[in-house]
Amino acid sequence: MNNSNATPALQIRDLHVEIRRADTWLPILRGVNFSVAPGCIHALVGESGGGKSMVAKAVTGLLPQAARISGGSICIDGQDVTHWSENQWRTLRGGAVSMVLQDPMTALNPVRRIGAQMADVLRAHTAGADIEATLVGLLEQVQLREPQAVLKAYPHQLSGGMRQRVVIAMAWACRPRLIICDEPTTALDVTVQKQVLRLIHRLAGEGQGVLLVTHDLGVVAKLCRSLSVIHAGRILEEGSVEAVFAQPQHAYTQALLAATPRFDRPEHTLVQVDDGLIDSLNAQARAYDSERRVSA
Amino acid sequence: MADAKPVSVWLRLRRNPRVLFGGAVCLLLVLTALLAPWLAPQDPGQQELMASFEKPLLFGYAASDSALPNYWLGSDNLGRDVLSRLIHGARIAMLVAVISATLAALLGTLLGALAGFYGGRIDSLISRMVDVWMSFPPVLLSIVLVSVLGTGLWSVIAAIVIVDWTRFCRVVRAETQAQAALDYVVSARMLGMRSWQIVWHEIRPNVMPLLITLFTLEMGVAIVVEAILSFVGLSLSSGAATWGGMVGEGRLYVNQAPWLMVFPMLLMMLAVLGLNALGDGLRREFDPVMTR
Repeated sequence: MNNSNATPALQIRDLHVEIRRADTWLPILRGVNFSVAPGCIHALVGESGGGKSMVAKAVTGLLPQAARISGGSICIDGQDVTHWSENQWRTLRGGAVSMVLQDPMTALNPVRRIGAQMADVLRAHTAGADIEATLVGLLEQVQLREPQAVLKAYPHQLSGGMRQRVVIAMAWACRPRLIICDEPTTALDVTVQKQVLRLIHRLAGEGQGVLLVTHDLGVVAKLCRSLSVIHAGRILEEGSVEAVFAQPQHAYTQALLAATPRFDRPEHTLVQVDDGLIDSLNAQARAYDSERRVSA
Repeated sequence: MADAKPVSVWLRLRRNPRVLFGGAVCLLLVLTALLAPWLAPQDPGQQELMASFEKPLLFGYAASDSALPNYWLGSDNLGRDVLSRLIHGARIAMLVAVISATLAALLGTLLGALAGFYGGRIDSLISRMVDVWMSFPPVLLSIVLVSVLGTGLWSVIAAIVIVDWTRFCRVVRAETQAQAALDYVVSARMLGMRSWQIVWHEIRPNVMPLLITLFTLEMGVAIVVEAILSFVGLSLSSGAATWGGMVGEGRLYVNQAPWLMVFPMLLMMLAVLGLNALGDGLRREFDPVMTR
């Protein structure tokens, strides 16, 4: 499936986000560019604090109150949502864009039955229809056995993997154009991770654009078609998974790939990204800020 | 399913001695209040000046005149039956406790949920208000309020609500804040739910156990505050039978007729003890940290 001519599910152009601290605005994202085509899984890779989650928050309209978008644009399914109000966002969330959160243990309300929570989504976005039947269908799609029993269960009665499937089913319920998966497998154990990743892969085949936020390059290699590497709020490298993994252009990408733990290394040492490299990247980011301030 | 069927809440609560004791006391109080006219052997306002300071028959004292009705718990200076007055007093105590706790819970929960969910300026405003409010001594504040509002049942209830809504507000704010930070609230927003829907459907059920607990404790507080106001003569008119009023009037004759003070005090202690035990027991059952 090649939809490169179709409208991208998500297109971010030169996005700048700042956070207020006392009376100054600290840049968090510095000109982020990338797009996610329908039917594609695009990975956003980087270390903690690099701005991955800020991108995820910006494209769902969930930026913290102290943050502002100071430049660039975000388009979801061809629609410019950069400066949308909370009310406008609400019509989009769950319908055109949805999100799978990291920890399935806390992503479901502990005191409500699964069925009731899932029904909320459908009620918010679709009129009437047979909700019960739709829910059963959704749960079957995420390969949960005994969907009727799951609908009546409370979250604590399900295992972590089952809960994450429920969360994924909720995110997919209204066939959104764009789904953001924020480290969807970090909180799961390895065997369950594989099943959940397969599930995401299969669902993405239906034509939704998926943005996978992760720091697990192993997952990226297996699951995604393209990736962007982010550090200090800047995209350092972008390209198809095959190209970037075979021939990483940027020193940071090379360092990240080298730092991936491998069992075939003789002594099981964990390699760190070189401090000097990080320092020079941070210096570049600061230089970029001052340059931007001068030109503005 | 992964787990066996959990023990039903009712079964678990029935095994808790605090809940059992507190529940029994509450049930008794509610029934007494509801059935007061039928339970009370005499009219609580009925005076019998020939039979003042009759000693309680219950403790084996003989009546001074066999023609008199039975004063099981003695009679007061005007010859009114203490038992009947206590039974009718339960009516007022329960009425004040239930209504004022409900209103305080509504007001406090509303403001607490607003502060906890929206944070920012709304939170600072409400929280500062609560801080200032709580820096007033509660008894003094309620006495001042009643003297401004005038005496009467509704003034007493209003005074208790105005003094005690802060208790609910603080607890609900803290809990709402904790719940709102959890991922399921973010999920709910991501699914396109409105703020009030999130507060009502997602957060409220999680705060409910705490509210139930606080409600029973608040009822105990309301009974005590009502008694204090009656004691200083700022509650209902002095003719009405209230526990606090009975203690206040009995104080004058404590050397002659100690039962006038002792019985209402015992009853008040029992009521507050029962409500606190119930609240404490519920808290222990509902609070995941305290249930081992």
